[in-house]
Amino acid sequence: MTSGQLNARHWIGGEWVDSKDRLDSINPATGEAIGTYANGGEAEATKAIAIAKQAFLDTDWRENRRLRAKAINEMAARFEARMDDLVDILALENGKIVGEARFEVAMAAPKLRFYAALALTEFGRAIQTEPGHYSTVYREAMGVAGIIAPWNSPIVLFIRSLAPALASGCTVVGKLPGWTAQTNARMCELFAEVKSLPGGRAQRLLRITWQWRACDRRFTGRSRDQLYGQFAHRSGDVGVGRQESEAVRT
Amino acid sequence: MSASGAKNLKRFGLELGGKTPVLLFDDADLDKALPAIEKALTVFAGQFCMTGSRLLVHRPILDSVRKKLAARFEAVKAGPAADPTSMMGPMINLAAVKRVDGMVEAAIVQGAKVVVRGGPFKEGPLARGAFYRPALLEITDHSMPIAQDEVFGPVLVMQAFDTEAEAVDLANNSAYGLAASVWSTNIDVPCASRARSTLAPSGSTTGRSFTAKPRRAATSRAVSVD
Repeated sequence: MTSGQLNARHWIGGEWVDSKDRLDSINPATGEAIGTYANGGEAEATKAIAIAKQAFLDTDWRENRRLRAKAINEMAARFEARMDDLVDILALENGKIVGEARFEVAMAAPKLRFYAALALTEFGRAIQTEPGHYSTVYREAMGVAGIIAPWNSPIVLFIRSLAPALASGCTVVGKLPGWTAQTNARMCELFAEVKSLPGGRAQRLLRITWQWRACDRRFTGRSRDQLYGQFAHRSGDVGVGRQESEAVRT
Repeated sequence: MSASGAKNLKRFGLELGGKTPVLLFDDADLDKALPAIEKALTVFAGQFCMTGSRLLVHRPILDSVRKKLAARFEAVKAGPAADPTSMMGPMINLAAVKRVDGMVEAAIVQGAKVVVRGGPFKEGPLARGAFYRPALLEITDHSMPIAQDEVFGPVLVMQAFDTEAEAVDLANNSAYGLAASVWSTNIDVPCASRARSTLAPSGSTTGRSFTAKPRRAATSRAVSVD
């Protein structure tokens, strides 16, 4: 891969979206630029959440567990088919030696298959609390899940949150790290190959963007155009969490 | 983030950091334990929430462990993924290298003894990359920042213990609680088994087993603590 060839953009509503601000992707083993990536902000995050919310409301994703299991299993198959491709870009951009990169990528498909199975087997609960009185708990998807994954293992640490969110019927806005933007984009190419994601609105279930603070603010804010659902998952250090918290307050 | 989201009743799952203690008892099979302890530090160049970053060594084997582990660390070949003989890749960027080296320098000033200095390459083709060769520091004060703060790089702090109770106290002397391991040839002897039952994650994170490391060998066992 030669310098400047790679170009990572956001994947929002099934489309590749650029940002005005572009930053260099660096090979940490050499210090050389391997390409550039779109450095998104609040506008991209807001758009992604709005589209994910619309997809949640407009498609039958949240109610169709067979569709979800099929799509998530298909996603697992794509991870298996493109294993070497993902290993190469992860090793180049994150710096993992090949065995470590393979170790990470190999964890994705089994996690997806596990949650695809769970999508079919969530039964809820029912009980007769006293004669003539019945209590039924039926679990429903909450809305848009916001997932923030870190750069140290961006593939598996995104998938392990993405898989249960999709399996439960949520739609997802992913905030992935700029330092692994090319790896993230490669993963999004793979998502785009999943044919069973609802047609017409294909792949609108997933939007991926990368930029820290604005996205975090959108995940925690209150207004209706912000995160519709009520679940966000992030990984990172305690200190980073505190810094983010400070950033959100200001 | 959690506080700002809580105001709007958002639900969060947060996975935070770690400062994984590795308890090495005098009946451990060092030929099996030390390669795993090396890997627990160097995998992902130490940029792993479950990086084994605190080594607690039973005093009767301290000299032997220091010598053997130093030899192992010196032999770790840092290099790019493109080189199939590389044993450890670079860190994520030069800023991370600088941050980690600053923590190591501060620890040395504060009294940590250098067993293996490690650190960035000063010259040669790898000097431009974000490489950090593994460092081994020996300490006697577990309250030092290098023993308490997550380094997120290939830096191992080693400290001796005399009794099982002391080992457990040291292991639990941390704000983190992600993972731990215990090394002994006989997990059923009181020493190791009691360490297992009394090791408790003290941090706010969910405990996770350190599955990359244990390799439950016939004569040497690692026990993950949730």
